Amino acid sequence: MEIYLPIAGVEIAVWKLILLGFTVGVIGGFFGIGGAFMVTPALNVFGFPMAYAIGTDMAHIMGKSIISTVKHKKLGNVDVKLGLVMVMFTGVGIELGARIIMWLERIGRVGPVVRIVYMVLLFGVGMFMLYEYYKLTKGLHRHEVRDAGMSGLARTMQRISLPPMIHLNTSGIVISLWVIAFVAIFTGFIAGFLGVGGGFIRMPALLYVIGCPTTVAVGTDLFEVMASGAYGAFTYALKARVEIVAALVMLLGAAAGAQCGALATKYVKGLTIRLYFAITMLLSGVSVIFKHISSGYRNGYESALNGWVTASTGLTGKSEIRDWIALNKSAVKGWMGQQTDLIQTAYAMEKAWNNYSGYLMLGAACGLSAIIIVKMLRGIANERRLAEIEANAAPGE
Amino acid sequence: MEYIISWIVELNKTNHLGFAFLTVFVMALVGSTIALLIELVFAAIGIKSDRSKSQH
Repeated sequence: MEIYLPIAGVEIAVWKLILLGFTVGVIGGFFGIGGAFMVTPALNVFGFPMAYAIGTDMAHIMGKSIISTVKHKKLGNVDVKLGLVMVMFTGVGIELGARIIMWLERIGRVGPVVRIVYMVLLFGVGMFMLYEYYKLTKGLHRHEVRDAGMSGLARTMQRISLPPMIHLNTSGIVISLWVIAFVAIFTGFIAGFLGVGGGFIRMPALLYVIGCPTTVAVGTDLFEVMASGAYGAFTYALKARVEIVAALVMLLGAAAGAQCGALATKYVKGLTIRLYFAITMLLSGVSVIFKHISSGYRNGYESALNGWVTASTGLTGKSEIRDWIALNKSAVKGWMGQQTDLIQTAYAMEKAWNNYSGYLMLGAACGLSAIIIVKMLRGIANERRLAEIEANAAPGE
Repeated sequence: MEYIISWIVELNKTNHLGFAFLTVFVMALVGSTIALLIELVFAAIGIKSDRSKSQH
């Protein structure tokens, strides 16, 4: 069944939105991230203009993270005190990151710099976590190691006795408020700089710098994703860039997915969560490389296209021109048909690499969520078997 | 349903602040409602949502 989405001006099959919501819901609930780095390129591939893809994603992330946070709270994985302190300081970091972006925009270097920082972070975090997994399981059967334990950096951070000290009962640690503030400002800065929710950098920061257990890092990060999702949804809706019907349809899938993802953390070892997270980061890094290649082709026709838009509409602002192009695809296609082979090839290649990036993320989301669901079902089956054994053993005792 | 969607589209065009509040409210309400319903379904089919002894 196809539905027409009047705000974004897109027609799309309902099952695609539900499936996308479900798969990213599973991954978000399992890793404690919003999953914008997967949803935004996928929605873009489905035909959403980029600004609407981000705004719609933010709105659905907000609804989904409420579901995941409630579930993780019941599982005892949310450190509310840590989450609240993080939320307070993250805003400062986001503002700093956004100011650097505005400066980079003024000097015309924003696109490549952001993508390169993004790639370095994704590959850096992914490779480090993969290395840690193999180091810890080397010479052992992987089932013998449950979690990685506290990192050396986290131990050092916890020795800093700069008052006020905060007792985090859920995480089982005592740490200076200023260490948490530093981590929150830094991760907020990265989020503001890259224009993302920042869960992919905050979750590892909670693990390796603060020293939270893996499942608590997942739950507490989701608590913060809930707050940042609400802020993101509000600001994008203020700019009229939220396709609310699509966000609601995605939320139907995401709701079920988020519950399953959060429940799966009950049955999967912390170290395995870290391994899957590392794989997700590396795949995302490859997707950003595809985006970078795509933007290289865009340079081949962008100035000619912008010049034509300015000449035919009188628009001069970069963002105004970008919005006009997003909402007048057929006019752009008509103009493109009259251009030289070189410009047409650059346009086609840009679209192709953009699609590769989106399909890679979509494929990764489907594959990972399928693995997580299987793990969850096996965990439930094992739990039931154990309960039956206990019930059968009880009468004879 | 069509009337509601037309109203939302009109609100998006004419009152951005109202649309922003509506977006946050609707997503929070729908998210919480679905969370509650799924919890009930999980409880009905016997899936435990509480903390597992083996995990912590």
